[in-house]
Amino acid sequence: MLAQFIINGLIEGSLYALMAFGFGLVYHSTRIFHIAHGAIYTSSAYFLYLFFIIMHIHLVLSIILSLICTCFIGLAIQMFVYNPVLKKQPNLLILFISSLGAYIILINLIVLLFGNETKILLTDIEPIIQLGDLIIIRIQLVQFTVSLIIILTAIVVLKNNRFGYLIQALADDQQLLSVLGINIKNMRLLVIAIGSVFAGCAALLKSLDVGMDPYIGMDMLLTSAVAVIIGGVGNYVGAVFSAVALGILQSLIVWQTSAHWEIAITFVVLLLILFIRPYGLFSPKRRAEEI
Amino acid sequence: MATLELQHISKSFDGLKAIDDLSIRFERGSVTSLIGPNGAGKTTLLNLVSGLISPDSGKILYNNQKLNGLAPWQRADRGFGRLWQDVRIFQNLTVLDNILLARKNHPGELIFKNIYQLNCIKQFEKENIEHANRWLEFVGLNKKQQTLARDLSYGQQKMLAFARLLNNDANVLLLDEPTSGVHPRFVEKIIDLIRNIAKNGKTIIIIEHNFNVVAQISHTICLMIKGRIELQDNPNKVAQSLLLKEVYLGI
Amino acid sequence: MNYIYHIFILINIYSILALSLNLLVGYTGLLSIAHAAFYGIGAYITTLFMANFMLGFIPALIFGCLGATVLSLIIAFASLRFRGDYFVLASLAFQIIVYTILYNWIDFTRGPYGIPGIPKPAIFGIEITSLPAFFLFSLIITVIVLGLLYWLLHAPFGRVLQAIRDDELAAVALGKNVTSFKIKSFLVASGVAAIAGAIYATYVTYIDPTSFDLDESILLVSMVIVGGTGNVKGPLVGVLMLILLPEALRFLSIPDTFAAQLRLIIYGFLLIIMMQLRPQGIAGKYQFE
Repeated sequence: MLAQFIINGLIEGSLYALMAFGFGLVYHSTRIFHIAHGAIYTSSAYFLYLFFIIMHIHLVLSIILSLICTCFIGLAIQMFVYNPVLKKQPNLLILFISSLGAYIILINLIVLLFGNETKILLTDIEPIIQLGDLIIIRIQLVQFTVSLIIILTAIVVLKNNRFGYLIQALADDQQLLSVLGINIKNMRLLVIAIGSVFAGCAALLKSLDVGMDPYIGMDMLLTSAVAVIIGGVGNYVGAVFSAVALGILQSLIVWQTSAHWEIAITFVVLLLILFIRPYGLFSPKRRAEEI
Repeated sequence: MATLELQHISKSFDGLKAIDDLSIRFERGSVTSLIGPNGAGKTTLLNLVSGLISPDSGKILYNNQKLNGLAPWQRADRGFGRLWQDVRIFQNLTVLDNILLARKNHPGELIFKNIYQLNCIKQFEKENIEHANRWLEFVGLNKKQQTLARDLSYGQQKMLAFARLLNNDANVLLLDEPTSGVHPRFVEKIIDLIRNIAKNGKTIIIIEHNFNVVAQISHTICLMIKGRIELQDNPNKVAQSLLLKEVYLGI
Repeated sequence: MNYIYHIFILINIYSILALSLNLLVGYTGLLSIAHAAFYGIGAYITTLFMANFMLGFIPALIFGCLGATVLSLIIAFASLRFRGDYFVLASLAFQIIVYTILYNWIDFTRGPYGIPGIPKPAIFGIEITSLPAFFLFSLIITVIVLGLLYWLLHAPFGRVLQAIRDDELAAVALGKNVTSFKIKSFLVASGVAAIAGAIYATYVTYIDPTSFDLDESILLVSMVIVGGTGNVKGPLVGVLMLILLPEALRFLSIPDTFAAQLRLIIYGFLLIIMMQLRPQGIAGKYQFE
């Protein structure tokens, strides 16, 4: 049983990792506590529902369309919610509240349009793969493989490429970017677009399995935000490992108690880690700066 | 008579020595200036005295009592006042409130005293306002009482910070660049102010880049390089020293 | 007429909540999204002492306040370590943990089933059952609480809180014990929120965890931010706006299911627009730095 729950947690954790990667990109490079990321996640699932179930478009095409639409939602949030604030007074709490506003609007629009109840995408029973005592459903395997490929690609790109360097520069030294002749605004749009696609991928993979309701985004966002902070902001490998660890932890909690404790315990972990190592588990200790 | 004494203080950041086995005494009623190139450890020294950072080794004594381990607010309570390089006034409060709240041991800051000792608080606040007005007049801001601090010019903010420090009734004043960024007509005023304060028996430690200002007000000048005091003497001697020329003019 | 009384009782409860939250957000400068948790703790503990130990309203309320203040020490401790978004996240964590406990600790709270049949309060032997009487009762408590808060915020105590909000380090260097002030502001804010919880519980006579969830905390933060931070008038404007808005929608004969979402969407827009045009809120004084 233990191994089974660890496997389930690992697969769930790979989705958290995907979500955390997107959140981490935005949070690291612009310092916006991008709570609307949760709403982007939710809308992505509902786009798929709209295209695939309501409009009867082929699944693959529906997925592509959903990701494109998700991307546009992210861009719209950056342009109409964050940019005006960034232009006037770039203040973290003001950005946070604006992001919260965007989250509230999106989620309630979804409730208005699609209703509160759970929607299912695939009704067929998925084939099961048996490995000794372990049972893996095909869709879980898809979730895990796709997440792994995306995350590995992203890590490689960030580690070895000019792009990773630019993200770091956007976080540390925006003047440097201007000197290099890079438009910061476009850079921010690019970051949020990529972040939104990551959220979209996680949402589509998850909703193909268990369907959706308008509130799925919040728990997902909270867990992945916790993963980013535990892993250390800007440390993407750390965030991925923390996300997987949280996935396994939550799966074990579901096994041992009732399902409702999982987010609470995730936050207990966050609080403990914040108190012990505020700079994250995997990042080196911050330099003691002169005040 | 010694008021403040640092004994063999060392402090490093990430293996870099910011203060290196430094010992010095600051006498009551004296004005001591710390000069030296950037990164010499001047601000670190002030931070060590105010308790914002703690030394790796060494002792800080005030009237022969050990200060090590006391929190910054406790040190402030014992008479250490600080003027910040970037003024650090309370932007969203009025000029008057900025000064009023600097008053120490105000009974109105305790929640329950607001209920059963109202008269005592009113009396205290009345005196506080009188003091504050005196200081505001002293720094020439008496007409701006109800202005929000954020709406003052930089020079006025600096004067406000001074007035706040005066109402804080500190005995040891740590002044970080009191004249930097200030209009020349305020500089004279600040120099007078510092002299007056010192005459009242307070200990003053200043970080200042303007050597003219330093020479006018200091009793002692300490030239700091790489966390050590390389030269400590009266202004005349320091002005003539080769080391100073070497550091400042690169000769 | 009953409807008007109902609205005014809600305004009383939310005024207490918004003003106590403003003590944290607008005065001490701590954006806390855990206020509904203290509201809930107050409601549950008061209910328990009234229903299980047959205590009167006032003694039960005292226990409720004590419970909320003691638990607020956890988050007060967090505020000493973290600032900015880390503190927001820590307060969010506290909110979610409290909600989860209210939801899952069946023996104590009956979980999602809620606690029905909470007795009406009795003061000096007079039971307050009628709606007008309850309105008067809640109004008296609100006036007393708001009066005390107003007094405290305009005393030197409130002045120091504002100084800590503007520049913590400068306040420390003036000899202010910032740790103690932050803890005190949490004790006061959570204790006052617990009073609102007690009024709510005895008014509705039924409580369940959903009244004290994250959305409720977000609603409270919205009230304070839309109305205005850093003074007493701002949050009250916010309460009036956000309480009367859904009622206005009802008069426009928008169906109830639709109105609930529409209301939230309007809140969302209000938050975004206020942040872009007037970050200090409609009637507020302080804007986040």
